[in-house]
Amino acid sequence: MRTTSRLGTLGRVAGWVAVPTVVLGLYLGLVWAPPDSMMGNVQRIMYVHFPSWIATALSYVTAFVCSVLYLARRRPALDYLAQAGVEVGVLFNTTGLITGSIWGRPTWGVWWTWDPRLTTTAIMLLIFVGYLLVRAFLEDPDARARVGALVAIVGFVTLPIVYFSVRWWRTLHQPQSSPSTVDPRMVVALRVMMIAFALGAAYLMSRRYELARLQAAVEQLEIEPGVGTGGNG
Amino acid sequence: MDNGGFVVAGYVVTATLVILYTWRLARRLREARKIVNSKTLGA
Repeated sequence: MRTTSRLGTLGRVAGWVAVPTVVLGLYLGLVWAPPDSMMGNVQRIMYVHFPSWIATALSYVTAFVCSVLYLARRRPALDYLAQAGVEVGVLFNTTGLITGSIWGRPTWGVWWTWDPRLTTTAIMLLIFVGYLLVRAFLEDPDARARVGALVAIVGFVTLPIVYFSVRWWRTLHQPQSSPSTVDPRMVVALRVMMIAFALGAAYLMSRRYELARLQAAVEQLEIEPGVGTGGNG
Repeated sequence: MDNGGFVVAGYVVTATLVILYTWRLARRLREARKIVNSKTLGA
């Protein structure tokens, strides 16, 4: 079998572009952009906190779309990409929660509070961690893919709830800001970091997709020695 | 109000988690490729 797919090649390109973009974003966010007039330098956590959520959303949307399509078409490649989306989403969901907690301590005075935004985000993370656990426990590849797809679809429902939680309920977490209300340099630094994180997530998803393809091939080779899968990427 | 230590902590934690995940993913990929190649060639 081919050990690298077209998606893998595209992912590598995204990875190579992500590296200088992160370096540029770090310079813009940590040096070029001014400190916040109210929060001071601690606001600079925003340049990793918010992009983490962009990467999370991109990954979970990928997992959701691929899961729906998998249930309709049953193509293994869609299941591989859904797995990749969930695993990378869990990574950035975690960094988003941790950086939020670090930002919350000096601004709110607490590391954690059961605020609607924080609580719904934690629930979303737990559902997707559940996805990974369910997949680890199921042995039948078909059942694993079907149950996984259902869990990913249920988990995705929490994403709009997380987004709108700051509007629907009274929360400590600030609502979405408008670029027109902040210094333009902050907007540029944030957008560069958002692009960098999105490219990084795309790279990691492509690598995780490759791994899922190879793992499926190993499983098949164990059942029928000498038979490899061609993959659909 | 400065709190520079919190900023450093936020960036360090994010970088550490992403680098660790990337490194582990690369290792898992290498191992999987090795198994596929050995089983295909050995068959």
